[in-house]
Amino acid sequence: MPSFRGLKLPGFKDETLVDRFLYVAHPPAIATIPLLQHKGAPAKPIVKTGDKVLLGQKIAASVGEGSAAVHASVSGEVIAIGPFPHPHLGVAEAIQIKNDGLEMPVGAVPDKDPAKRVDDELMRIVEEAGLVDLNEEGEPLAAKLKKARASGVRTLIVNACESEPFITALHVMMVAKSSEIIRGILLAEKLSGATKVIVAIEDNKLDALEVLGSRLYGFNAARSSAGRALGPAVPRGRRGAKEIELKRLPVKYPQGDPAVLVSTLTGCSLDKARDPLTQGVLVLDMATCFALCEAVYSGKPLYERVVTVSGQSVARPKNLLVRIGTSLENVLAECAGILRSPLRVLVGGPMRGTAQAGLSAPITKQTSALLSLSTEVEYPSTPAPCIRCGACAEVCPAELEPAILTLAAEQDEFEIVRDFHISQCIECGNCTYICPSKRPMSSLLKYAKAGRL
Amino acid sequence: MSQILFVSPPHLRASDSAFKRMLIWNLSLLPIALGALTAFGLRAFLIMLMSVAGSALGEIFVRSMLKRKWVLPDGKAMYIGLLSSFLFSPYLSPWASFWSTFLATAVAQECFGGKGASIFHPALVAFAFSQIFSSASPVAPSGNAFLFQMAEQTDLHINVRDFLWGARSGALGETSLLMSLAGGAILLNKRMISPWPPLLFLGSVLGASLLIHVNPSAELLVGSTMLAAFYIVTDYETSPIHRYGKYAYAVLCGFSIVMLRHASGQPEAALYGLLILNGFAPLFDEWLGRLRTQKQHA
Repeated sequence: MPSFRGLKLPGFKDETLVDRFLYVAHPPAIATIPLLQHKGAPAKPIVKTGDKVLLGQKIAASVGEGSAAVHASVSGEVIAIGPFPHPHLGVAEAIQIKNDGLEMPVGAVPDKDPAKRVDDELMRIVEEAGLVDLNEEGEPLAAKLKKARASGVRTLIVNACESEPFITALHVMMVAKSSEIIRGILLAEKLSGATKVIVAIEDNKLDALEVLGSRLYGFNAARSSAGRALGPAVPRGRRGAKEIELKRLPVKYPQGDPAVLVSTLTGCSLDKARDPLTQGVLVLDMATCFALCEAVYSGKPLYERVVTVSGQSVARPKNLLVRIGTSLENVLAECAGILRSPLRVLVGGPMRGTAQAGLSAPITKQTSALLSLSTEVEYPSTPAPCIRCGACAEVCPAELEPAILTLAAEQDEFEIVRDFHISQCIECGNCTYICPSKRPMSSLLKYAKAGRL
Repeated sequence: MSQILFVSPPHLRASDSAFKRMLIWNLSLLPIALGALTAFGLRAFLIMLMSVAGSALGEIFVRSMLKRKWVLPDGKAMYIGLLSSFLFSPYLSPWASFWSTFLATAVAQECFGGKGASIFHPALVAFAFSQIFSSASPVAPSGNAFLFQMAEQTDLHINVRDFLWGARSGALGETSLLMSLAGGAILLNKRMISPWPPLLFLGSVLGASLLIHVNPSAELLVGSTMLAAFYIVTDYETSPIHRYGKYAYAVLCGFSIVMLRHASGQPEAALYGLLILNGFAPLFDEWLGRLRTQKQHA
């Protein structure tokens, strides 16, 4: 298996995973649900202020490619539609719902066995449920699956590598929800038309490997025994995979990055792996597979997700099942609040996450973690000179020379920046982490990228 | 919530710092300095002291002339001063060593743009300046009789034990092989340098000496070959950044010192060879960067 240049970062599971329970957060008194929680254009609201909505009711519709429907995460009354804080955008349009505490669900459990449903029917469910790939990018799942199918994808890679330090959500989900996850994987396999499924897990999650591995073992045995449908009731496509492969990967950042993952598992170059479909590969987050199962088997639209709440200043770090639209403040309160004054509150991991100016922003579909860090990080006001030690080049997964790129970016030499392959940079932040001169590498690389255009 | 930092990611940083690295590089020079002191006594001490002073003052002088922002001393001047003094002959007058390092730091480091921007290794430049002074100074014949013998292909008597402990003629830091190795071991242990460039450098010295039929053990053991392997070839600023560039550069350095030592008949030519190759180091990064580009578009 080809390796990549990466980093062994502190804070991967061992120090930060407190327990393996999946806690359920209280529904918020007021849910602020942003209309933009996906890749494309913001969804269009289909409710008005004063309307009564039910739990899971569609409140905003998709407006075309890259856009996904948005659902109410509490039952109650719409009290406002307008600009509200957003964790990544600062301020964005959102629908605010006052919770009436009744938890009245919309719709019932689907009457038909999903195994018997045809693909088009399933695809419509996926679309209606507002499913997106549950990573930072948030590409709508239905569009992604359709595209994969049209391009004749062969391999489905389920990404169960935690994307960043401190995040343990996938680990806990694998332990707590393994059967749902496997159902979701099978659905994704059926819908994408893949003939091979690989589940990629980092090898420090031994209990998750054990749980998932034993379930997959029974499942694979059932599949291989001449067409007998043993094991869980699963929808089986005609072209179903022979078996679901579990791949153990070393713990290294950025293993969870889709491009890096594809290039590790297929051996293609990182540049080609950037668009996995050209390699006949579809990458889905494991959390997405769980949401897919919930949507199809329980008819539950995407109105809650698992979020890791962690960091040195959180009193009780937890993995929480949180309703979308719950404010960061409420989520932190769910974890017994903040112990000492935090220096940074982040949405997302410590390497790529967005620092928050306040705690009023809500949890969105793209939020995988809420971290409150209290470690000191040096931020020199004037950049120190590069000592050309080459440490950045040693840890760059794209095998670039960040030192030269940033030196050129400082001089606005965008020609050089282009020739030295800035387009290959995946902004993982490794160079900034390692730089002994504490240079703002990531910021300079982002500047270089912007200047290139 | 008032003191929350609103900054761009990543929010984790390694505990490594340029200052710490400089400290380790300086520490690794201490065994060699000790070796020089035991071999040459007070003379060596004076030369080293004046070199460090020259380097520090050279930095201060140019920085104040160019009105650059004042930075805290980070040990770089000490490092350059000590390393330069190791290349000097013990017969060099302390004042000559002062002016050599003063000029070298002023020109090769500060005038090229300050720390991290020098193309030519300041220690090698200091050595070049010292050659001017030593030929002018009546008290300083070249200290390295053995190297002359070697360059002129006269018969060589190599006593390995003498070489290890430094009981031989040579520049300050060149005499004790064991101390150079100790310094290199510190650098490798602290992961300041990768083991490959020094190994490739020594390997290519061996290969080159076999190629032109000279005594390979003499080439490996004498002069500043060991010192260069750990301190000049692996220097951050004057060697390529790219991993493969570093390897190619090390191999070229090994070849060039053997070839120049024998082609010129002057033992000092070896260090000039390294100085010339310094100028090519940035080109390795250039070439490798663009080579990649072409491969991608093909």
